[in-house]
Amino acid sequence: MKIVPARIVWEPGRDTFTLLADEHSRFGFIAEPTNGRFASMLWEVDEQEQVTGAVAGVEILDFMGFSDWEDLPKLPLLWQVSGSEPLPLDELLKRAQGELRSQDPVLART
Amino acid sequence: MAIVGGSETPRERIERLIADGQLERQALEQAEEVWQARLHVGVSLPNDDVVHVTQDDLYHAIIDPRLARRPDRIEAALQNVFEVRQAEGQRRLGLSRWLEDGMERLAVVIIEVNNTLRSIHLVDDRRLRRYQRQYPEVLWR
Repeated sequence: MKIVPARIVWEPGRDTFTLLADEHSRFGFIAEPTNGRFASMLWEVDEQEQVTGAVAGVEILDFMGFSDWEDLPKLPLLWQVSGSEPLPLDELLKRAQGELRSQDPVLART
Repeated sequence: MAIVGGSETPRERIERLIADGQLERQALEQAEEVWQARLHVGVSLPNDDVVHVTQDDLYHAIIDPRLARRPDRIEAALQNVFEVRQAEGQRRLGLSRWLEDGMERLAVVIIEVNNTLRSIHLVDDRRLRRYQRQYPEVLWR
């Protein structure tokens, strides 16, 4: 499977988690809702603002309480952030949530 | 913290992109000027709601380079909301359509209970319809 280098934007004060592919978010993206609560897939647009079909990332609001993992699309991609091995999207998100919860037990209770 | 150890705030991401030459500092400065002059004081929606864009709201929005380079789109999206739907957590989803340089632009905005801007995204027609199906309860049209 293709490995997608990516970075995390984490906003604890807004409980918002955004994962963005390094190479596919340069010019922008359009959003598409998933069936998961406040989880949107982000799709790459090119310099002419045309959708390319490549996935740019995902945005999840209320991330600390998110649990709709089954509603995330199953893409043939492995996401890799610095310091971690390549992982399927849902696995990476789950691990990130777990780490953030251990960092901030107060926010984890939201 | 293997996964989140390298995470960034929106402002950190933007500054990194500027340092890497992927985004112009002028774009950030212009976005901040637009925020200070117009977004921060409140943007009126067609349904008479007034949405106040906080600085954190701005930085979240301009994670998208298309909004970083065109912060006027944030204002335009709010001013041209044509439909408001109920979203989870008492939030509201605004659907927006406007003409920009002769081209139709579509956007969705998520408005918090306190009338701040939780999120904003440009979309296309197909995805806008999907948001409409996802959130069927219409509050205002």
